[in-house]
Amino acid sequence: MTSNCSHLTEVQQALISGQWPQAVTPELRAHATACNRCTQEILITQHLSAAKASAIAAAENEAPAAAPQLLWWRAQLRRRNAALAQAARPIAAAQIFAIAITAAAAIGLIATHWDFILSHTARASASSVSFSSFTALVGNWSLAPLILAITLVATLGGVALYLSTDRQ
Amino acid sequence: MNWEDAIPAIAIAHAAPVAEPAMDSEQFAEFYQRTSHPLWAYLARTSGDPALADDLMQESYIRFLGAGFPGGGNVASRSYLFRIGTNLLRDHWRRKRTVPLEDLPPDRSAARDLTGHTDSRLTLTPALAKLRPRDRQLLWLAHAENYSHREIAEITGLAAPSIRLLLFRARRQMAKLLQQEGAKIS
Repeated sequence: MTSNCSHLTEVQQALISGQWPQAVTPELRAHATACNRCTQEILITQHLSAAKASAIAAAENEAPAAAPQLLWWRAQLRRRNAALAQAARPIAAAQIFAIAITAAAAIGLIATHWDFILSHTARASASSVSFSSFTALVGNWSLAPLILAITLVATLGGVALYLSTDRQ
Repeated sequence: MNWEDAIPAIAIAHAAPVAEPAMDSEQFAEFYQRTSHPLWAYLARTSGDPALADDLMQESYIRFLGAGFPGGGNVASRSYLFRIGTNLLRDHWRRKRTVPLEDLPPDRSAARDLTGHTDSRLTLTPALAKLRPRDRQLLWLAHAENYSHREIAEITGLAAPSIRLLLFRARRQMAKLLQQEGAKIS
């Protein structure tokens, strides 16, 4: 199916070196007109080579699309941006981890003190004096660690959230 | 201070190491002078869109520099550049039409005449327009760039053994189309 002609290499060499048809033997020219494979080779190579030459000539006559210095500079810039993005990847992962830990701590804190929160809420609603119950809550020194933990979690969560959105 | 120093180096020292550029700016300028026109001709003729060829050529060089190609001589660098261009062209076709490259209807990627040369307009351009994009690439690499089958396989990413058969088919179709357009060997 892809059988070659014994003269094909000779024809190809003549085409590549620009010697076709002037510098080839009459026998080779006569063969090429009769050989289907060689005819294909000559037709296509001549047309595509001419197309390449005309395209190159057109490109040379037009202003260049970009100077090589500009391309080199853009490539360096892209490399540096890629390096920075690569370096920032662990930081982003750490930020996501911090947010996850903070959220887990908040949930854990609420879960462990859920009974206390429920009972205190019930007591506060029974007394129907919300402001005084809040004062009583603050005044109760046994709740100090809980309040401190909630404040800490809220602060850390805010910082982690700020850092994760800061880059945008 | 030259233009290379204008790039801020802030925080680069802390950044993870990335591939070194394939060549320095002077080597690149020389490489660009030698390869830009053939690459542009290849991209423009196989895509049929000079503006697209401009864009893809620039992107090809930027990716070439960013890839940290270890070298292997000018011939290898040139092949590597054509490979990048070929991949970008293929990505462009896939993204644009979201169908496999082989299923593209030939007339949708029709090449248009770039220079207005009579011979091109009358014979080559209509013939190229009727070929599949992949066939245009294969024929151009083989007959305009004179790449070997092995080099074409590296550039296009196709299997080396299939290049011979694919080229045979593309060549036969192209010759038939050219002859239909009235082309004769000289």
